[in-house]
Amino acid sequence: MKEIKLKGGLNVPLFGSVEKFIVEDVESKFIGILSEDYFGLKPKFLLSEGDQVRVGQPIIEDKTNHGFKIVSPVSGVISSVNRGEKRALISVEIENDKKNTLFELNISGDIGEDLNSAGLWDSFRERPFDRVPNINSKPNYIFVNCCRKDPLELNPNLIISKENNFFDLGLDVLEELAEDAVFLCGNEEIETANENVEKFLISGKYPSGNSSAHIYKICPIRKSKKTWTISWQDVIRIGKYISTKSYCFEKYVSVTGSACIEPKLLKTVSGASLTELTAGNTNKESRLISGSALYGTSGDSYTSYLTRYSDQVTIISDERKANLFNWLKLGEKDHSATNVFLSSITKPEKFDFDTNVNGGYRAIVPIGVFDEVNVFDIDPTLFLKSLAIGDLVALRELGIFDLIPEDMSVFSYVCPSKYDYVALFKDCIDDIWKEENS
Amino acid sequence: MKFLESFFDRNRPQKSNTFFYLYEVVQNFFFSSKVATTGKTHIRDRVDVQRVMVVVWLATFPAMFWGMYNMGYFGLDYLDKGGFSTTGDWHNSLIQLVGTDPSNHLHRFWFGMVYFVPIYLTVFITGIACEAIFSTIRRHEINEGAFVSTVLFSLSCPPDIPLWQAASGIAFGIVVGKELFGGTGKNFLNPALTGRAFIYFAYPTELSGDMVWVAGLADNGSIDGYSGATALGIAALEGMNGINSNFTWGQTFFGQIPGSIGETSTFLILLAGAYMVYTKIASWRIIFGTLAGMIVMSSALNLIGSDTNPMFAIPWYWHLTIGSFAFGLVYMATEPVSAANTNMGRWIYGISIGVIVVLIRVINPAFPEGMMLAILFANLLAPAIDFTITSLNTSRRMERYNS
Repeated sequence: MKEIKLKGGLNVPLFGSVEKFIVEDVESKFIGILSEDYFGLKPKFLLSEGDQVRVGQPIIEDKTNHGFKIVSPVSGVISSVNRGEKRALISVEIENDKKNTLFELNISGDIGEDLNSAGLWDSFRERPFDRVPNINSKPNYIFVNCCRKDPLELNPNLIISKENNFFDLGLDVLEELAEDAVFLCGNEEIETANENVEKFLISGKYPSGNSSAHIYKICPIRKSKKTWTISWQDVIRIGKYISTKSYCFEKYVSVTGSACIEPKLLKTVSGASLTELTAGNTNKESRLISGSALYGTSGDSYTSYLTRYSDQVTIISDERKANLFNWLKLGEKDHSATNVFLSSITKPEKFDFDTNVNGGYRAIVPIGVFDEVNVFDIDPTLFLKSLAIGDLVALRELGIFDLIPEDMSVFSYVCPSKYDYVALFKDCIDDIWKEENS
Repeated sequence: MKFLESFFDRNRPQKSNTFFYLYEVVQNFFFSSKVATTGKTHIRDRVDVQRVMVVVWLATFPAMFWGMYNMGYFGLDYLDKGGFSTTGDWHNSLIQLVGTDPSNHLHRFWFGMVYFVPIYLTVFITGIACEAIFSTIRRHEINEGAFVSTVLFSLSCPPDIPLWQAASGIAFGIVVGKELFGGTGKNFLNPALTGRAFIYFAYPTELSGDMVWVAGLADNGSIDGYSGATALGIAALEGMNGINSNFTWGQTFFGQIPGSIGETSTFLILLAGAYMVYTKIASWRIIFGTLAGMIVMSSALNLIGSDTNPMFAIPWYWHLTIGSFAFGLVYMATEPVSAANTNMGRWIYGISIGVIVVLIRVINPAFPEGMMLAILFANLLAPAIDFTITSLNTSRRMERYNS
């Protein structure tokens, strides 16, 4: 057990956190598979719109990742396949018939093959591109993330200790898969019977729960070593699969946010519809986000589903109003990483947020907040400026391979010039991927 | 105000419209934006560039108000000592509206206002116009940074500056120091200082010497037994003895000395600096780096000593209070865009300003005032500083990554 204290970061205290461990089961009528969850996906369709589908039946095969299949978490009908520009896949929507008819589960003894046919292979993601790895490859290191990524979601430790047996079984699988080591990173000590994993206690402000921060502190990325990440939720699912020898698509989801009437914990299925998960739980004009307010996907009608890697739904108010002479406002209720508002003296415990950009788009003015909230091993201002101009050569040297898009959200939040570094990061890493794979 | 809000909403132009950015900045002045976040980060910090600039602008107020009062103090004192009844130019009729009693606080303040407000108005209108015209033609957003550049430029002017010179200075600063390189955020020089340096070298007779630091002095001419020279100017000629016979350290610290409008009171400037550091708008690393560089360099020169150059003997606490050191330290050196962008770089950037300013003041024979040039030199150094700091980070990373 080693302790790691991460300096920097930022607490963004929103209203609406889940505190109690009371699970409510919710079945979702519509299920979505979103292509943006799978980096570099080139889909080959095994089924098409209107086809019947069973639980665990493969729908899409990735042409760029031989053998990897995306399976259906429910049984029913593929109600639509949505495409965007240049016919790129956006999402596949499945209407759940709630009959739960199972596709035949294939158990061969090979971990990769088995997890793939159980629809669990995409639990793993490989650095640097944060991409689902090849099913025949073996990692050197696996980082298990058990941190509370966002302060609003339920402390994962509560769920892990309840599902302890499954978590241990899941860790055994990781142990078998990893050639060098499995690292378990949590905010509190995690109980597990598995003694081979290396445990780390992480403390720090947002985004110190992100795996990128753990990786650089514990075992930084090298070209010669494969580094994979997985979240606690998927470890439990793998454990359940191993013990029951059947599909497991269930997922714990914290419904949170300042526009949420009653924050709670739900147990639902992977890819559930956000509108169904939050039905009756909000009374304002609000935005539904799969993920946290700082990093999450808020979809249109085609993509408003729980994303593959998030275990949280956030509802925030979408009512924005314009203030007269805003630049004179004292701001006793306004949150900021700087101390320009009265709130830096009155220090309210929590803040209400809406989806306002809170300012005009300007060129980057690096007043030093980037350095203050940075928890990674980068020079943030130069990194972000390189993102803004798309300088791929510089970005490689400045550390783009150590990071993934979610790490940029804290910089987007604090930026006084209102840049969206997550989007810029995506564009840049996509271009690098294309350069290296063409 | 509903009327105004709906007026703006109704007349919102397309982004392709020539005047979109002009509309945007004017609308932003009245109403905060209602634009919704897109992408993955759904909430944003309440701070925007406008607020950042407003904080700096507010922070100049103590120096600005003291500057006006102080100008009146010296201007009226001079008129009284010389027995003149008029300042000799168009300011006079306005000054006479209130009075010219040299011991009346209100008269002093009014005197200063009559001199400062026209300068600020001229600079403000010219600066904002340059920014707006340039940005509209170049189709990029208009930045509130021009507010700060104009007020800082005005405060760095001597009281008696002809208005056309002030206008040409700020126009040069905004256009050449900033807009040619893409506007605020992309400038590698501090725009206000670029403009100040331009007029300093373009109109040396009006902007240096002993005659320009007290309002009215240039028009009426010098009188016996009266010197309008700044503390720094005196120090360059006569060293510590010269300063001591004219001013106490307390006077220079609290600002009862002639000089550029905003630079006189070190005390008020440091207060404003504390405010800007507290709000995290100014980098404390740059401020303490500059102080450290100045203290070390001036102490070193004190130790070396010189028989011919009296400036060698000036201790660091005098360097702090005389000339524009404090003004540059708090308002100019901390300008984030042209400074170094890494934390380590900010220290080095600050230290190099501190060292260069003492070198220019003490060793350079031509100009006693070194802060302006020191900051501009350090602006030029900043990219190299950042490059060095980052290459440490990148070479370490690439070595690890390829291993």
